[in-house]
Amino acid sequence: MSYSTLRQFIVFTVIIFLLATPVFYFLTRSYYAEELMDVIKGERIAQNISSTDLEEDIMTGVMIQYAIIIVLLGLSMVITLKFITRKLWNPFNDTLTKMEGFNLEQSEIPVFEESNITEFTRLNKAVSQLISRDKTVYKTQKQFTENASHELQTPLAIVKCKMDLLMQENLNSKQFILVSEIYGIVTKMGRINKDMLMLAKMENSQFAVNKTIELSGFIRKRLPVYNDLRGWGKVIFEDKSDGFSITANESLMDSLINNLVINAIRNTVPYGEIIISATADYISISNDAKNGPLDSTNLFSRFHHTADFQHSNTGLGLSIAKAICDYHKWDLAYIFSCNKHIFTIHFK
Amino acid sequence: MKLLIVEDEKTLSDSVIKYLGKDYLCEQAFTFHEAVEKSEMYEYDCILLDLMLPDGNGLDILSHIKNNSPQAGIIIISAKDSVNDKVEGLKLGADDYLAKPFSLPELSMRIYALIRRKNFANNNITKAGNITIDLLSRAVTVGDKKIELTKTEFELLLFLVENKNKVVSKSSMAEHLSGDMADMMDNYNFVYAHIKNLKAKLMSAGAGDYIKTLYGSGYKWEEE
Repeated sequence: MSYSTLRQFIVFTVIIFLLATPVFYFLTRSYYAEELMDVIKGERIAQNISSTDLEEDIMTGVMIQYAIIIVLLGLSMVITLKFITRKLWNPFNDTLTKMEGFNLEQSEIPVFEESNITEFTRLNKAVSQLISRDKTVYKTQKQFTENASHELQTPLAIVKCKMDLLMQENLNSKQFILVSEIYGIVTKMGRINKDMLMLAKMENSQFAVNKTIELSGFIRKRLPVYNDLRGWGKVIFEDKSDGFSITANESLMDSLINNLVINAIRNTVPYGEIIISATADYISISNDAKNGPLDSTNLFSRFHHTADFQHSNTGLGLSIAKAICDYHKWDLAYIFSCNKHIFTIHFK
Repeated sequence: MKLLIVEDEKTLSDSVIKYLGKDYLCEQAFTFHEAVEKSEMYEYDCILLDLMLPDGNGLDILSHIKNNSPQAGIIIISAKDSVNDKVEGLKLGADDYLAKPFSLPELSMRIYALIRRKNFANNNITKAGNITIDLLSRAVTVGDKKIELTKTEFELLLFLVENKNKVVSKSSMAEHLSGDMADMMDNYNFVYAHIKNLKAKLMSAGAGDYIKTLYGSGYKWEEE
């Protein structure tokens, strides 16, 4: 029971008490003590007894009784309200706590306390139904996106294998190049499929942000592959992170860094500079620009193509990077400076 | 070497056999029951296992097969590409995990590597033309001349040698080097850079000209 309610109750009681006092006074005079006072008046006239006291006495006595009754009533009400209602509202608080702690992805459907109060039972039943319906929808959606992606991967796998087999036939140059091009497109389809699945899973909050990742080791481990992918030139890592670690989802972190670095690799001239820089506040990836600054307005929207990025770009790479940053409540910013494209992931 | 392909998609299964048929004795299973039956009746050196079979959960199959054919190397091929599956599978005794879609040369390479690990633990030497490759020490010698290869060049050399006389796309080579990241690249010219260096090192050490380039998009290891 809150203090304001208590205060309200006390104020209320006092007001009622004060208002009721004159009523009670007149009641007493007219009924309770009326005849008694008449009798004493009569006696007084006959025997000269000092009488002024009696009226007052009676009045005082009755008022005291009155006050005691009020206080007792008030006290019992306060006690009842304070202690018994606390017990009464326990099931409600329990329901509330369970609802607050519920997470669609991870939790089991909570079991609510039994209660004899119809309203609480109704509430619990309604909430349980709501949650289990939500969970079913969520599960179905999750299954659907995963199944859809899987369904698509199988025919893609078949086409890829068929291409591998087709290449073994004695093809002339025109045929071989066509086959290679088809191979490339099929690979791109596979990538789009994987990317869309990842975006859907993020929207469904299916990735737990619970791994402690040490930036230095994480990036260093991937440097050899990045350098392989470069072919002509290197990928440099400026490590100013000093052993800093961040909490993130590992697959998403992987995808994020890969996307940004490979984006840089694809868009730098051979032997142009690509630098990954990590500190405790940010990771930045910069690369020498070929054609001036990028149009930053639509940079992270899906399927956006810019002049610089047009060759075979799926268009999803930067959107995924942005989505992953949003997922972790990080900021992804792009600036163009000293003829370099610089993408920075800010952690705070 | 005997190979069992447990995959319900017949077209896919047939494609694998077409590519590997000359190098391995291949058999197919399209359902959980067929897979269990076959693994009980025969001994396989390597089993390719698709986790999403119509009549059973792949991980259950894995346990069954492990029990029936403990000597077989098991490679899980799965469209799900789920990290959980991978971890669970490896925990339950699978030896490797390859996500669909995969390239046939990559699959071939994984099978080769697995069988080598299981059967030829003592013999780590592969010969290709006048080149000798020591798989354990990663030493490559041409005749008696040792050559220094980067890790990448070594991987590409092995990849080509293992898929000898087969055309290998630049794409599958890119995938072999960079796994999942390859399909984010818009061209695979970086493969050319590494192959160029590899060829140069081999040639200058006196190796035969085994690496053939096909129309700039594919490679083949040919020893005449």
